[in-house]
Amino acid sequence: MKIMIADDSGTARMFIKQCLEISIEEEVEFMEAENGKVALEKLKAEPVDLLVTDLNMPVLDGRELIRRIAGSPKLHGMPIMVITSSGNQARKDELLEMGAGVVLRKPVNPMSIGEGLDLLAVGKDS
Amino acid sequence: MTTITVAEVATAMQQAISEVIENMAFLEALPLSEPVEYAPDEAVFFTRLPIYKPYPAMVGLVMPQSMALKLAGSMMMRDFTMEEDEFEVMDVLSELANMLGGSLLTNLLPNLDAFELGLPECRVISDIEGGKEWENATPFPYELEGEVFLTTWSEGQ
Repeated sequence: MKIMIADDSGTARMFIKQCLEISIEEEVEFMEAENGKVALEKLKAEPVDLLVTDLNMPVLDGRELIRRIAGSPKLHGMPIMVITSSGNQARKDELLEMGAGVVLRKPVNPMSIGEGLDLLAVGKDS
Repeated sequence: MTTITVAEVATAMQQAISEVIENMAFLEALPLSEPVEYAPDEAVFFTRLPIYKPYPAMVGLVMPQSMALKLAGSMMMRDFTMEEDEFEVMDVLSELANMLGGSLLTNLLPNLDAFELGLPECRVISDIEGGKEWENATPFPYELEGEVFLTTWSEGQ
């Protein structure tokens, strides 16, 4: 499976990647982007099985990325996991309404990411 | 606008520090109950995270270089040096400040509508000159592995 991780922090991308590797049973090919614009360009060229995105990013933030994916015939319906520091309940409700499947608050760990994957039904061999 | 006391910020900051440092670096940072004259004998990393909503504020993280290298090493599970990894350490601290700000606001204002954080900035300060960079902020000192670092909080920007 292919997963895109969009986060402006290389530290966050590496940490999330490690958590996903622990949580997912099958082989994963990771793609990375440092902002929403780069992520969108890469996703249009090569759709993935899961997008993991931060909200607070320069150039194009995660909220706008989700909005554009929801409006794209090619990308609409792609499973989206948001991992953000700004993840209180009001923000979660807003993002779920916009098209995110799961919203997790940083700091995450393999267990919380695994629970998110379960909710999305992604990455678990049936 | 909600009135927040220093005591409330201190409690929320302690919860946030505990959550972030323990989760990311598997280390324990303990709050110092007595005020300290913060004067590390080495350069520090100063990381600032602006808060835009519910109202303008700033969260800061002031950490001696040697402690930052250790913390980054613990998080990323490898050795860090200033010569080779300065920018990566800044990225680690920026991400920590980001998480710290989010956790702080969640603990401080649990019933708040969505809040909005800015992008963190990190730089090295060779001579802290009595903390002029954060002189208008309230400092909260913590002890980590026998050394002291500060978090700071100020309202307005």
